[in-house]
Amino acid sequence: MSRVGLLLALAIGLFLAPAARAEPRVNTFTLGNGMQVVVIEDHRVPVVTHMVWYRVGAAEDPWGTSGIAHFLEHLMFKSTNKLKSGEFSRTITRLGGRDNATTTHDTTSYFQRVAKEHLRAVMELEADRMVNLRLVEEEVKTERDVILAERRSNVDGNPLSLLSEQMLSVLYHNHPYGRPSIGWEHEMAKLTRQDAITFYKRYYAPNNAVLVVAGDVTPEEVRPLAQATYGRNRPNRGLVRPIRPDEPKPIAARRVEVVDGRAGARVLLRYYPSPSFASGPPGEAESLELLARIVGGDDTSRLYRRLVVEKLASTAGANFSGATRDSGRLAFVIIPLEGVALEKVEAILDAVILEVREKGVTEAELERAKSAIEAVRVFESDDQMQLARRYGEGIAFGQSPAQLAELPQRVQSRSVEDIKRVAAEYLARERSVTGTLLPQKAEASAGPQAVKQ
Amino acid sequence: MSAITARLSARAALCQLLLAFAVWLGSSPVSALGVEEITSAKGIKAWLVEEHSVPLIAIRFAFAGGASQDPAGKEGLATMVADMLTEGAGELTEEAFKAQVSALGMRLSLSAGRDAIYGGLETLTKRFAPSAALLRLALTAPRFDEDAIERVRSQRLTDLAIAANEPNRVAVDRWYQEAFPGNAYGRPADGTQQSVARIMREDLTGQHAKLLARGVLKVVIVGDINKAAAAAALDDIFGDLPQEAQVALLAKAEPRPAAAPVVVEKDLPSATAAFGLASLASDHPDFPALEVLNHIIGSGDFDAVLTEEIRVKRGLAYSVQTGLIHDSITSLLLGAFTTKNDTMGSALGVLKEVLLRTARDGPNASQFENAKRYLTGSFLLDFDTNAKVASSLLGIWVDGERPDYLQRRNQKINAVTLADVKRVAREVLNTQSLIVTIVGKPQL
Repeated sequence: MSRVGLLLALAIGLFLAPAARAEPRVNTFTLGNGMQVVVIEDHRVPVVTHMVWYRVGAAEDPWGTSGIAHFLEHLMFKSTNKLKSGEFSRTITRLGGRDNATTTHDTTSYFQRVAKEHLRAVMELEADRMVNLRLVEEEVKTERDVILAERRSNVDGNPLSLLSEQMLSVLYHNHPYGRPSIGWEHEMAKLTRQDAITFYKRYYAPNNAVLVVAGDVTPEEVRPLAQATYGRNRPNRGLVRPIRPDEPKPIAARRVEVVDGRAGARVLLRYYPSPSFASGPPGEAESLELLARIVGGDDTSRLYRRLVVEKLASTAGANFSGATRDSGRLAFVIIPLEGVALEKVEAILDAVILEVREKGVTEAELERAKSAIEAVRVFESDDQMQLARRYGEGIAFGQSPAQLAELPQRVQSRSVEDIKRVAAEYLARERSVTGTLLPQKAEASAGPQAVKQ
Repeated sequence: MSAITARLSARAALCQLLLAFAVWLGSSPVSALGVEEITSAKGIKAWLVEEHSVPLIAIRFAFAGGASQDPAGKEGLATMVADMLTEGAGELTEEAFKAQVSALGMRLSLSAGRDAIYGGLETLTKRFAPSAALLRLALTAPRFDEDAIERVRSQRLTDLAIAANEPNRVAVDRWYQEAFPGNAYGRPADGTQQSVARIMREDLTGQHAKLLARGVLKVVIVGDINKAAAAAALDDIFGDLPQEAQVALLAKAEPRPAAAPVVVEKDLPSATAAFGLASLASDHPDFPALEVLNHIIGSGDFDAVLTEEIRVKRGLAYSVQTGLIHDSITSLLLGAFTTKNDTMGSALGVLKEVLLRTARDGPNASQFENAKRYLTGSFLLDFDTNAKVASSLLGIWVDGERPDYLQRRNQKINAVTLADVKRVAREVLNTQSLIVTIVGKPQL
């Protein structure tokens, strides 16, 4: 591959957002080495948000080494051929910037926020560690203690996180979403420097990454900088992502019970797998988002009225997570008041779900939900980080900028029939996992017959 | 899918931890923003930033007083008053009120801290008038219906039961209790199971009448609105409140040092420590030097001394940070971390060693230069959404600053010398007065 070829920008797509002021100007182009670039203009303050999204996450952790994608993310802050360990963040700090990184099942992303004049310096640093990471055995071992500490504080220290982790491992029969993105503790404890290097060499390459620059810049400014930095990195032409296995058709409702003395209250949690924004047919995830809002999105929702207003629960809500490459998820959560049996609130949850599957929702409910989602979209567009995330993640999942920008229109065009159909299809009992969190085995406060499962 | 990050963002961890206790000091203002002081026809003052590029308006406000005004035995009263404001107002029942909030897609929040009742509103420009009208109703004519009171009470009791098991919450609550015995500040702001059970309707209506008044109000408006419309909105929303509040602000107090770490024993796999000591008020001439010092030791960035010693070199904790807290009665340097029970003793040893060494030698020249560069350069970063601009400005105002603080702040940081930071380190980092509270089963 010639240097000229590497530097050449191949595809150049100009995309203009619709007239609404709330939608930003978004431009995309692709470098000669296959790296996609997104530029989002936001000229309010002279600041830029710079992100690189790798199309690899914890779902790609090889079996037996869960947590390696996340561990590597930590190790990316160590030394490279040019930088000493910790120098990356130290440099960002000296520039008055912030940086961090995030690992999900689908992506690993690195970001910095700096004054616009430092954009080039940040791009040079990030392009360097894309290909020049150098790992020292001692540092790898200490950092492994850090991820174990992270797991202890964020997962093991929180009974609700443990319940959710257990439920997900049961929700997915075949797909790696069933493994925690931070990893199982016994496998994390055995992760090695070589595991990290193998994963890094395989997946960290410009043709497996999306660059997002949001802020006080133009595409004309970003293009030459991207070519001079990331454009120099060679692509991994042999890159093949392992196939993620599909889920079998779910045929049995499942139950998970976590008993944990540290739980301050009993909790009922219910998950159903569903399409996501990236994996479903157009409009499907939008319908699911509206459905979740109507059933449990705020204090006017059906669950809140039936459970909280009736003084059976302190919390009752629903949520749709659709920002994933494969399966999305509908979640319902109820925290019953002391003295109210879990069976009772679960029966009401089932009744509310049955009702929406059989009778659908009202026009008034749908209008209110649409109006609320419209407002949330504008609130998000006010936030440069969220804008950058919306486009970086979406494009990493294979969505086009146009698809991402047209989400509000797709939400507005959903009908009550659409909502009823997705409720009937995805909220079938046999698809679900129900989890309960109990402070102790017998529910003392709810009477002796409370727990019968 | 849950996201996991390389480390908690520079402020997130402590902010979460301390949310109930203080307004975070806005340490990164921006000169590019034009902050204007406006006064409505009825004399209500506000800070306004006009920002027309996104069609939304954010308002943040504070009524000084808050949970510190709860009568003894009725702790949690201010929190419950704040909760009840959105449970029906005027002619609108709870259901009707919430249906309107939902239909407008507005964000409306009211909460109580130790020093104030805080509120926020975010809404689309095109829905501003009806959104402002709902906020006015919530503040001036809450219904305090008996049914809603009982429901909110039962919700609060469940929240308290959950919070009693959150190590961070328990550690910081206990810290204040140890530091300020016998002071209203040492009492739990959200109350206890017993005190919340005792709160009656007349307590709520009485405290509402005492706390919500124009005389203790500070308002910040940011977004797609002009000066005249903002001034009119101030009178619309707040104009019908009484002028004078009936609050007795607390006297200044110093934290009482504790000789040994105080342990709240709980059967947990990790131990969580809160640590802190008295620091300097935001109007103290050495405060900018303290900001530099705090950044050097406890920013949470990889090059912060505590992160370097506790996380990077030893892998003892995922996150360790310190923050400068301005409460109405005192100013503190407060921090927290979580480590294994059997490594808590060594982690505390490292913490004390770092504080001792920094007090004795001060930071080195490169740490000092880097911190100043960060503090002045990061200037703009927290001011990127209307809501964040409004929150930061309100924090700056509550701390007693003027709108022109934004212009002066970097000059103040730039004027700090290494000798200043060394002097402040000697004065403030006194491990003798360090108070440590730990939740878990630590080996010390």
